[in-house]
Amino acid sequence: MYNKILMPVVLSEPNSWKRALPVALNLCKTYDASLHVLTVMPDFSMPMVGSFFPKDFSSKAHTLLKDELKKFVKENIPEEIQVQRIVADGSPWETIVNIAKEIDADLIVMAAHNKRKFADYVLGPNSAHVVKHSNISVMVVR
Amino acid sequence: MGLKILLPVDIQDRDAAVAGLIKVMKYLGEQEVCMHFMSILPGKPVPLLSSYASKEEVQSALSVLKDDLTLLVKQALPQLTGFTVQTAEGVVHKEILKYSRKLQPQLIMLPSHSHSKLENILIGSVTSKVVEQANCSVLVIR
Repeated sequence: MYNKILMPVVLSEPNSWKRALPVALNLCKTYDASLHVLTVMPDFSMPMVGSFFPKDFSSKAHTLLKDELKKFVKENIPEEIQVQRIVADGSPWETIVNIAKEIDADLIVMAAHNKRKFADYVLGPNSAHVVKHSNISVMVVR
Repeated sequence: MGLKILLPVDIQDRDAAVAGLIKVMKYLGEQEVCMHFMSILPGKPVPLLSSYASKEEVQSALSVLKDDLTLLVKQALPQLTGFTVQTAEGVVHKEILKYSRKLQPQLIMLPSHSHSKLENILIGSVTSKVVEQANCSVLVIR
């Protein structure tokens, strides 16, 4: 039923994948699907802020993130599952929705972390944005 | 029993409801599950108005809804044996959350309708409210 499962992770936050990963792996095994692990590097939404960073900051961070993601996949995902690693930058939820479209995924598995109680109540967490804007099924793991 | 799943069904749109149920069953496959179906009678937005509707009227409407839902589930999913049906009256997302707090399911499945973008922005969807505020995993099915 599912062929491509997209899982966005934040590498520095184990909460973002500790619970979602077993669910995603389980689904991958059940449906013989490929897993696409995505990590998003937030960009500077204000050009003013960006100008304070050195020019090669973004490309350096990109390579670093790539290596880290590689390590993460090696450590946490069994070899028999087909994995694609994706590093992208932009606003997290927009990127998740866009990448899902681009790779033609049919399910997004993501964790919800309700840490910022008040902020989440007012702004809504990332996961809610993804749910609202994507055209495919979304599994929010808690 | 296996996984405890809460599945709210919008009975007003019969075809969509049936299609949603079939999709859900495809997703579940042969897993052992304990399904809890739920349907909600949208409450009157103005409290003053609702005081005109007598309690008995609401009760009878709820029981009709319950029978309707049971029938629908039996028609759409003849192979499913054990399930419970629940009805409630009130604001849709609040009732879903209230019942899920009582039931403590492992998963809430939401067959989502695709309204237009504008509609979603103006009214906001039940789906995103449930996703934001639920205590358990949520699967949005599209």
